[in-house]
Amino acid sequence: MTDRAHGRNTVDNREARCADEEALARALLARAPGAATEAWETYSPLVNGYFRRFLGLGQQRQDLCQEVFLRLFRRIGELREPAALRGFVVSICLGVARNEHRRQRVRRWMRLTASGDLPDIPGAQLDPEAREATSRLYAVLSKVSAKDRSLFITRYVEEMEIADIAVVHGLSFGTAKRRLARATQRIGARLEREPALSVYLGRLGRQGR
Amino acid sequence: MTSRSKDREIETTETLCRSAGSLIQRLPSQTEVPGELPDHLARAQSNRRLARRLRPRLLVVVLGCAALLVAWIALLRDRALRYQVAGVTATRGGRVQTSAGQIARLRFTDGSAIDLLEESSGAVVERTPDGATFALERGRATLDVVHRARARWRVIAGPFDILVTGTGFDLTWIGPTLNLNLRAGSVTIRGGVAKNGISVRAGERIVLRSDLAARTTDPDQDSTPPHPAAPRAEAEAPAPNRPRSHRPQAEVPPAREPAPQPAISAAVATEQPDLAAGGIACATDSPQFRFDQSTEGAHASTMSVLALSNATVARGRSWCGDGALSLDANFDLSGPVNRLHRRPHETGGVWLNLGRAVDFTGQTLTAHVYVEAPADVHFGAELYVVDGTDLGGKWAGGGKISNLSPGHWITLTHTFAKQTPLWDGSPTDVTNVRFVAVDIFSEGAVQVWRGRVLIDDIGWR
Repeated sequence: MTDRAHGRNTVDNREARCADEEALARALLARAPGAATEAWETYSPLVNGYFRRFLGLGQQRQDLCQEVFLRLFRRIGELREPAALRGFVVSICLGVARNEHRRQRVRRWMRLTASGDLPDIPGAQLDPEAREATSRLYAVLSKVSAKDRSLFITRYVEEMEIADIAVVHGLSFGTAKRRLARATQRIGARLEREPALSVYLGRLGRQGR
Repeated sequence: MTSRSKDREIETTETLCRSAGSLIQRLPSQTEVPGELPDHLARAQSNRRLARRLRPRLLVVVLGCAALLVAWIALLRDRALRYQVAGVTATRGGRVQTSAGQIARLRFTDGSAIDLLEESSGAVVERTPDGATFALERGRATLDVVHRARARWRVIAGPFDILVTGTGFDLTWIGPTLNLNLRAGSVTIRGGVAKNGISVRAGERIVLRSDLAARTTDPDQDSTPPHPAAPRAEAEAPAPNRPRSHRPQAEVPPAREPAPQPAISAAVATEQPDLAAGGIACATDSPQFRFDQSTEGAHASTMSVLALSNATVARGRSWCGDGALSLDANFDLSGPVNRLHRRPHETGGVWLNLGRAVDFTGQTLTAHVYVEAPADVHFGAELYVVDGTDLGGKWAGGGKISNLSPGHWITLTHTFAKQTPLWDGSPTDVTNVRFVAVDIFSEGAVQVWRGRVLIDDIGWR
């Protein structure tokens, strides 16, 4: 397949997906039978993936995922543009993830976990050094604010454009850009204070190049 | 830190964050196989369906409320005043027009009535439970509005909007001139030169022109409510019972109390000749003092009220005839106040001895004033009659007209009732008047100014 053909297929796929999402959104808005099931089947992998990358957790993702869909069904009337259903789901997902982050911080502060530390990061397929680095990274992320973490995840993990970040966070473009810069600065400073982690990340960055 | 090193630091931080992001991206992705839609989510959907089933009932309730609201509004509308037209037939849309010899009477359900006199037209443009709005297109109308607690009537004539609360008045609107003669009650006129509103009280007549604004330096000239004349103390002849000259300072009246009936200045034509500016009025008016040949015994006040002096006859400018009484004006609002709380050159006055006793009851006194002064000067004016054998008698004022501007003739007129309030609110009759007087007050931002005041054709009838 040539690049051009591949590109056209990608565009076609995206357009088809948008059309599907719009139809699904209209079905949800119309409370059509089966629309909820279809939404669940379409978006639960996406939602679970967000939670996995945002929180790094394993066992609680199903509860959070259901929370997302409960909110989606309740708030579907707020969706003004049916084609923006995916973004709407992501914004709900980020809201739930931020709440979970805050809950975790309170639990940690209240020492509700056995050791007072965060649960282990599931990453059996990672080498020991990467697992250690990932664990430290989530430890760093657990100490920043929910908003900073949300901005960090959407920008550097989900690799969203600033315009999309603004939409899913309900911010203006300028505000999103400004807050993202501040979040990057704060999280970067925390990462630099972890020598082993910053060395590992530096090496990872050079490999990536 | 230089901007370059700062940029480098930002870049380093971003690189670190990107690496952190890529580390998270390397987390093993688990194939997410969605399970069945959980029951409670399905129930959430079914609850919505219940809401949908309830929606028609909700719709019925909303429609019922809307119907009640419409009925209530209809009931309110039905309570709006109704009226009947007698004398002529109203056209569709409520327009009433009279021709020569015809009078149309509009009778309203609250007892109010509007008589539309001959060769006039108008329409009731709005009705409410509290009143109505009548638009006088042209001609003359007589209104008798019954006073009620919440009465709210309006009359629109050209650019003028007359707010009525219960009153009787005669109104003429032949564009651009509005003539209102208030028999009872009070009204407020807005629009045209009276942007901030002019209050008119019983016994007063007001003439306004809608095209005056082009020549008026401050079109809100009549917005200041009339306030009493300041106490006079310039009596040229001593009098044993002159109330003002023996008044202690504490008795100086407050700014708004009492309110004597103001005479209202008539608007002037936009273009006035130097001589006989009164035009056609000169052919019909027959004033007692014309000032064509002499000052006719006019004197400038010389005690306490000193801003006018040197009464002579001026030949170059007149309201009618070929002369007018001229007085040098020297106004100064600075300096200490006298015992009557006034500055000596704040006010100027001129008085005339009538030579006999005149009963001014029901008489309308008219005088014409022209002030030659810088354009930014503002002044007030007031007519007086003095009831008594000398200038120490009772000075009955016609009400001060404020915020007048120089450069054109201003007609002062006032009809004296049987009882006219003095400066302190006490009433006096005007059956033994031997003097008439005109006072000019300096007002506004220009504190010191010199010029000339011309007074012409003082008369009563």
